[in-house]
Amino acid sequence: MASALDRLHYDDSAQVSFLAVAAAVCFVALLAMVMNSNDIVRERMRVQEVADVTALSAATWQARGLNMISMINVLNSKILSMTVLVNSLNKTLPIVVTVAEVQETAFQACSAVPFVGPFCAVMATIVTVQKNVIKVMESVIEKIATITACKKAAWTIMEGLQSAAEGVRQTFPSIATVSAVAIASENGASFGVALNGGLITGSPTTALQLPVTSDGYETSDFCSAMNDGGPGYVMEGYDNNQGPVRLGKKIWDIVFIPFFNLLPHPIFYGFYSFYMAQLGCTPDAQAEDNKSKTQFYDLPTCRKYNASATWRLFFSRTNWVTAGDWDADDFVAWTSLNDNSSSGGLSQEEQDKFGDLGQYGEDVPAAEPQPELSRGPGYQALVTESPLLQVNAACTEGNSGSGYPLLNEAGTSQICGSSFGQCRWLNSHPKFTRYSGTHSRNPSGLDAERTGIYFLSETRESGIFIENDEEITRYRYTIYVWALSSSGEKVLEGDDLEEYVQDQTNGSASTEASNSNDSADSESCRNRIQPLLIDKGDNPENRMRYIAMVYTDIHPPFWSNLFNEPPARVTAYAQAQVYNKLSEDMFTQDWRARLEHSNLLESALSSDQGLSLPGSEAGIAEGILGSVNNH
Amino acid sequence: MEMGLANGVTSASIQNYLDHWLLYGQLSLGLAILLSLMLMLLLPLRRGTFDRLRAFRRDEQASASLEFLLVFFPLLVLVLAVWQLAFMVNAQVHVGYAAYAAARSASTVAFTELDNEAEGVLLNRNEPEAEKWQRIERAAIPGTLAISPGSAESAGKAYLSTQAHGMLGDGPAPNFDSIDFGSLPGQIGALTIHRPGMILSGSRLRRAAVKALYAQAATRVLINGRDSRGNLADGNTANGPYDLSSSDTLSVTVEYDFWLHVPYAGRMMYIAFGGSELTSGITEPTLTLRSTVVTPTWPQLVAY
Repeated sequence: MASALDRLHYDDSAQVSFLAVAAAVCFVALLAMVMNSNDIVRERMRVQEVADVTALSAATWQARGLNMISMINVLNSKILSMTVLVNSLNKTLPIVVTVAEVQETAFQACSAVPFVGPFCAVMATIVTVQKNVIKVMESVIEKIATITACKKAAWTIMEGLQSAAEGVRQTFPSIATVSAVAIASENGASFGVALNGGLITGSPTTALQLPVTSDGYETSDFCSAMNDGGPGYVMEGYDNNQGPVRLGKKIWDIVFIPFFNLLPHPIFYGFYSFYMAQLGCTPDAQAEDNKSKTQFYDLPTCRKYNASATWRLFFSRTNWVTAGDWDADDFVAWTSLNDNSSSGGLSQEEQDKFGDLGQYGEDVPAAEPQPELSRGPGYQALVTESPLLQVNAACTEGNSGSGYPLLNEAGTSQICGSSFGQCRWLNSHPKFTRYSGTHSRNPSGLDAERTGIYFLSETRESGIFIENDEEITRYRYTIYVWALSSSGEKVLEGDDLEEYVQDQTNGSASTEASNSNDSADSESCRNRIQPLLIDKGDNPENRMRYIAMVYTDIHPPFWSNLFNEPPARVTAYAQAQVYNKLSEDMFTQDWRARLEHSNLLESALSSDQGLSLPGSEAGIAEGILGSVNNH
Repeated sequence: MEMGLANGVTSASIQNYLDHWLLYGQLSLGLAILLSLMLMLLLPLRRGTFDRLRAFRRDEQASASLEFLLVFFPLLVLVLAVWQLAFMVNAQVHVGYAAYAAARSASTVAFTELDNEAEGVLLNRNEPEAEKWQRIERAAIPGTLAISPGSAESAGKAYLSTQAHGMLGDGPAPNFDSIDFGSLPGQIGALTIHRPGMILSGSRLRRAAVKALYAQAATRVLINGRDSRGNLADGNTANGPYDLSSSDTLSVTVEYDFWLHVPYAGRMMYIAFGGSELTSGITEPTLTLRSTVVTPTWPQLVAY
């Protein structure tokens, strides 16, 4: 044994080979390290691209669906235009023929009169020719008119198209999701799925449909498209700001020029206006309607509407509170009824609706103006943040969209939604009180402007409560929130505000909606033709987004373990947005999909719109998501 | 998406290497010693004068050890050089990934409309409410984080080295020994590039935080030749918002100051790859690696 060791000790053969082997092992290890990094990085890039493709695929399906619905809306507006034009002509041409026959008779009669006879004879011949031409037109138009009658072809087609649009609305999100799973699988992902953004930050039920609705929209919503067209009407024959009905009318104006002596223009205009009015599309009605409308902000969805309104009960809320719990801090803005410098455009009757809070003595700050506020005309208008009454409304003006800044009690900005579910805001009305400046709740001075939107009147009842074997007297306060946008005389159409009032008050609001135009045609097919337009009600912006989540199981080579613990799964996510390059309306067939920075999950984590995590964990999760996602 | 990768590491400059006095002197000295030994052992020597030397030449005792020494040190240098080179290649792979991530981020973020930044416009990062540059730079961090030093001591050295080369400001180095973890959440999580799960506790968290802090300092993103602070590639500075709205493509470059930590070989590679003059006292220099990705603005699909 000793001799063997000695031999080994003195044996110097292959000593350099030993070094070479050691160096080679080192080189191979380094090579493996580089290969390992390359493999992981390449896999991450690949999975990220699969996520991108998956998100884009889903969003593209949604874009396809919106384009199809836009196309259907355009088709329906064209068919509707055709019905107006054809029916107008169908009524016009017989009268024109009658006029022609009268003129023909008159000219024939005067053809025997000396001096003018030759002229009358020529005119009689011309009118006869005109009459015959018009009669040919009449026979053709009469046949076409039959298909525009209710329950005939034109209306059946429109109803069919509407059903098709509804089918697209219901099915395309599902197709998008299924397609996304397939796309992810085809590109080598172990699993991948694309979810609509509404599933994360909104109502899951609505997120399973395209973000369009016919609720709240009427046939008259076709008017603008029929008259003015739009970006979606960019095609041969349509000039800018010229929809199909206006173009058709223009064509008939030209066609009727050779028949001007038969007075077709004024007759046609009359019937044209009549049929347009039936659809609620008369210029005067629209102008009046626009005049009476005001800007209406729905804060939970951060959408701005044009709405008509009058004095109406917006909603009421009742709570039992102890008198001491109701104090000045419940309200951030007060103006005094005693400030008679201006009536604010309100009649005494209107002012009386809001009572006098001073009757409650010290418990309620009857007239406690915030000195920081520059108050408007004197009536009781307030923005309240009472946690007891849960009437939250604190808004700044000047922004719209999902980033709409609100102010909470700490004076920091928040995103719309959640606890502001009751917040409605009427703005830009001459009779509103507008508050400017900062107030004590907002030390940071972020509050640029506030608009008084809630008008308070309340009743109070007392009640005895037993708590811990003690009797406590509490008062039952009811807040009635009134919204003002008009003098109270304007009768409203059923619009967004009306719906919201109904929603908020469960139908208890005093509403005075009526629509004489619609009632005139209530039995017609028209009430069944409604466009599918953007659903402004439930998180429409996030419903235009898709988040794709993709992972791939990987099987790293054995040497990966030499360097670190290799991941068994590589995950990535991406976000795509559906947008319209020309105009985001449902008459413009230019919906597209594009990747965007993935903020949906982050915002859901960091705000109270959807998922909620404690602040620090949310911050960490947000950062992790952001970093892993390469955006 | 069409993305092309351009490797930014320049080719080796032999002239630069030989011109450098330090390595030139060391190389000359080593060569002289080697030649002297060879002359001493191999040349015929005069009897009487060098009897003892001749005896030494013919003595085979410890010849194996001598051969070992002769081979070992050059081999050691070679191994160290390959070691450093492998780390550089590894780092370049990661910088390439960082450039990909930054380019992907830029192609989407830059053309988003935010509250304070219009579509296609980026505010310089030091301006209030600037968000886009932060997002883009944050996207690049996961790529370079994995190749950043993880111990506080190493990160401190690397930072000082980078600072000595003028790549960072003159301000004090961050305290790598005491890091506010709360400020680095995303970058910590980004270690998932190489590791499964999230690393949010223990020594891994500390290492991750150190890596994140260094990676933040040592990573720069340039879009079409301008970085988040308005510095231009040509050395000038641009003020005001960066308007990319008319750009058809974005050329996104990520620069990362990679710490060459292998003894001796690090310096060798630094000079070989065109590093500037070595600063006195810096034994482990940092070399700027860069990678560029060209991407179209806002990848999109048209649905018909």
